[in-house]
Amino acid sequence: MVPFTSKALFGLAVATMIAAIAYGVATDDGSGGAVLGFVAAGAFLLGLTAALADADLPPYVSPDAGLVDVPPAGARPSLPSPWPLAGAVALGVLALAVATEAVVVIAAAILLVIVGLGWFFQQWAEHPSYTARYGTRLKERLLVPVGLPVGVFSLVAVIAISLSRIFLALPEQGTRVVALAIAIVILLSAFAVAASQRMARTALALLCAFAFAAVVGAGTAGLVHGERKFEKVAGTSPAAATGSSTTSTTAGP
Amino acid sequence: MATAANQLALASSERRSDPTPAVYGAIAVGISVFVMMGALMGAWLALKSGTAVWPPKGVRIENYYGTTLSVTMLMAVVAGFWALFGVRRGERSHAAVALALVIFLDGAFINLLTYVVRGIHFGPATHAYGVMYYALTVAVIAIAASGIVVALVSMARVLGGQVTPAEPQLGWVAAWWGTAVAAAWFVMYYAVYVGH
Amino acid sequence: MTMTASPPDERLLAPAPGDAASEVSPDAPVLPESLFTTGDHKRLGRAFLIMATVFVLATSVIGVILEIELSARGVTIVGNDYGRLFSLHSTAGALLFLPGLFLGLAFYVVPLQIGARRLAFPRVGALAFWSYVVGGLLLLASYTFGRPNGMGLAYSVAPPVVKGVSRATDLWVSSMGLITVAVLLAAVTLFVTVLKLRVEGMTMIRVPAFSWSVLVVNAATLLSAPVFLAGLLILSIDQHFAGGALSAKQVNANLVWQHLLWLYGRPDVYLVAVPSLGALTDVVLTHSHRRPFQPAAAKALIALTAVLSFGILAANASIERAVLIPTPSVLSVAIAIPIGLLVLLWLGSIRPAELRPHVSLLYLAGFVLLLVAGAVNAVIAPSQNLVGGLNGSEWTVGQVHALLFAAPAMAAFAGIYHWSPKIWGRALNQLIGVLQALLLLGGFLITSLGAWLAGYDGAPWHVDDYVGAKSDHYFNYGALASAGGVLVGLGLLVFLLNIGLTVKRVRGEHVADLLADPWEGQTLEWASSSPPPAHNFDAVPEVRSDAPLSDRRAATEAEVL
Repeated sequence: MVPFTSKALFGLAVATMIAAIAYGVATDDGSGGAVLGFVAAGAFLLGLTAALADADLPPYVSPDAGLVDVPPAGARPSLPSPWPLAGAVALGVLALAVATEAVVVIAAAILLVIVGLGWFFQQWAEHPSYTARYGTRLKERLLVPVGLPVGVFSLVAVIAISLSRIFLALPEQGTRVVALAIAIVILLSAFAVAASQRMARTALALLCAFAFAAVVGAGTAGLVHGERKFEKVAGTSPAAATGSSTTSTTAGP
Repeated sequence: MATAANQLALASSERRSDPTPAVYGAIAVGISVFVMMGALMGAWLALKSGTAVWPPKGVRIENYYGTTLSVTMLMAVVAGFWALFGVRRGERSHAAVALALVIFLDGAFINLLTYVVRGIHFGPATHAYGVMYYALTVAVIAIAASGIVVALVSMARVLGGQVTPAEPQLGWVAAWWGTAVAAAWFVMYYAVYVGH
Repeated sequence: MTMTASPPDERLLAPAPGDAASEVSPDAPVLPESLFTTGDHKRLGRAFLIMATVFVLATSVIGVILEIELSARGVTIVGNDYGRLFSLHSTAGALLFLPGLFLGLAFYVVPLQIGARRLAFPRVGALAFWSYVVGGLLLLASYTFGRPNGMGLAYSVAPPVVKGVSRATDLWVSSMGLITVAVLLAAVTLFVTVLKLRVEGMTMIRVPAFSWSVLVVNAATLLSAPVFLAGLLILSIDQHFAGGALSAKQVNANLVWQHLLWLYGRPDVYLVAVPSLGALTDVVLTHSHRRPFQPAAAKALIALTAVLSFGILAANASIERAVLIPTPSVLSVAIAIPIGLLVLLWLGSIRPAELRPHVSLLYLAGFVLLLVAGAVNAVIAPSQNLVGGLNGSEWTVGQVHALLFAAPAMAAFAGIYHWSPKIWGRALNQLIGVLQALLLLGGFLITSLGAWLAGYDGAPWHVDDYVGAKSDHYFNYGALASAGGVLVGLGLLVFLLNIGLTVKRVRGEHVADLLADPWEGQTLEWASSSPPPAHNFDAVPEVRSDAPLSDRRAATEAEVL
């Protein structure tokens, strides 16, 4: 017996296939027929899927049986998760990358990887077989030895690249001022944190997050703005001007 | 409401949550991907019929690469179903090895496809053929990459003991998604290598 | 169903033995529940409704500004940006309002109607919502990125103009892609939810009309939206690299874009009618206290509407070799048949003596009135000499607004008012609802009337100023349309006000059991409290027909007797 849903989908498949054939006969355009043909095939496959997924048969109930309550369908509601929102933001960055620079694609890819990992680990942790002990073992043997250095390196790289974008976008004098200002801000903030008797972890985390967001945001703005024009020094090559050496040394036995 | 009727009809132990929504979700998305590739093929055919020389002069399509890519993709599909077979029989090592093979083969597929693109000497700005070729390639690479992700997730959970004969749905998802990836490639294969 | 003061912690509820999918590790980290972390379909549904209304308010304001510019000679509010803003109005209006509104209703109502605890993929549903929000914001932002390429950005038949790299164009295309991905994610979630998560005993014939229509429309979306995504991919590459595949010089480029746009666009604009029909069917049956008459027939008609919506591809005569057989008028009329038959079914279900007067029925009347107005105009128009034809004149604007935007919007609001006790714990104020209905209906009719009259008088479309002998007439019609637009905007503001007042009242009150089923409903959503708890149901009345609550009431009455 074909379920009701499948009948509707098979009907769509037949109608679209007739349309594809009729279109092909009526015009000399094969592309429209091809697209419609694929839609027809898709409708047929979806109908087949619906037929396999759901037999659509009611359970047998004795006519004399009274009405009772039954348990609701489906698993329990899912636990809260930040990863859908983060995933949407990552996809938004990817969409933005199409309109900005290619390097933003890399940023989007990194964000997507982070979201994927976070989502995966949350699903993992929710499985009934997961225990706190298992999680600790996983953290000690995998996350910390691998994740910590990779994470720190990535963090340093993002900050360094962001700062470099800021400096490259600013005029020469502005670069010096901003560099000095950043150094002073870091020094004063570190002094304030060290000097405070008791600083809440949340406050410290928020401060660091704010600083990180500010640096990355400014770096992104610098990236979009583009580099300033560098003046070529007359009569010298860029390598000589920067004083780099091309001599090589060989290590003797 | 009368309390006499408010009794649970069945003992709780007789009801199981259906674990297969994920499988049918993956199949539904796979069908959507197939239709998308069909639309790209339709665009290819339309532009081809309106262009005198297709592919343009100087563009050479090596069938050897197409065949190699197709064989790689077929092997990945077989490996995916091998993994499912291992999951259903409770053979974790088989399943893990098969999924690792899927990851390797999909990676090899992407590697070869990017090599082919690097060697074709035209870009998306060159002509309409270039636009369509790159559109198909980007779509297929993205879909193949998603195949790697699905296989990775499945493999990790197989190794973690979370995919078992009692809960095989990720095995089914990996197998069927691999089929969808292959179907997407074969649409491109037909357009570029067979239909030209 | 008794309601405790505070719902028990979900994690303390012991899962049914053997119900592996319900079990969660007791050591799993649990984050605080908020809108930003929720997978609860009810919160997501409400958020969809609010965001869709906010988006349409923004686009409506732009629409009114554009009409004001056409309401008098010499008025130049937006100047050279007319084309860009027109594009924004039409694109955002088409993509962000009705899909968001119906997704909101579907997300909220469908799991309740089918007796499920949740969506099939709650986090995918959340991803769909946030992708919709981010995509919508990026779409609006794309118009501030720079000047787009010509007027070819309109979500219309005209092929996109390729003039090289333009950031505004790139972002416009990619944000539309993101919104389409969001719609696809929502579609797969809802499709699988209805397919797999129905309570035992609920066969497809017994599924409520709205949930059935959601299943059908999302199946159609799974087949049509990917075609649009393919088109956007080609457009994105072509625009970014100036490849010329879709340029005016390329033979058949027009064909490509039209095929790929319209195999989504045409089903899409008619597909919003499908959940409208489902929602209104449930509204009529509930408030007329009638059991579904020929439920299979009603469902078949809803499905037929979705099938025929694929056939409206040829409705736009300016499409060069449309995808379907070039007999647009036949197929355009054909879709009216299932809709008309359903309206007759509704009318046949109503017995005035037993009808509960409810504001949602006023919206239903507005829906029918708008359809009739559109149908009458469709009959009149071919005999008039419309400049630009049936698909290229200002008349078309009126028809689009009336049939493809206004009528489904009225249906959506009918559903919102009908299910408002479930959504917000208290029914939305009916008097304010009546005011909103009158503002919306009046506004839509006046706006459309202005466009229809302008079209009959020979006004061209998509122009930023009228010139010539009849320009004064056209400006008058523009002024009329502007007035209608202002009324629509006011109606939307009234809706947001109604929600605000309702939410404020609910926060200060204890929700009584009485509100669980204020309309003596027939379907399962009324078996839960208002609003329902996180897990929706403790237990669900057994389903042996398409009106399980009516069966329960009848059995209870029989027991009492």
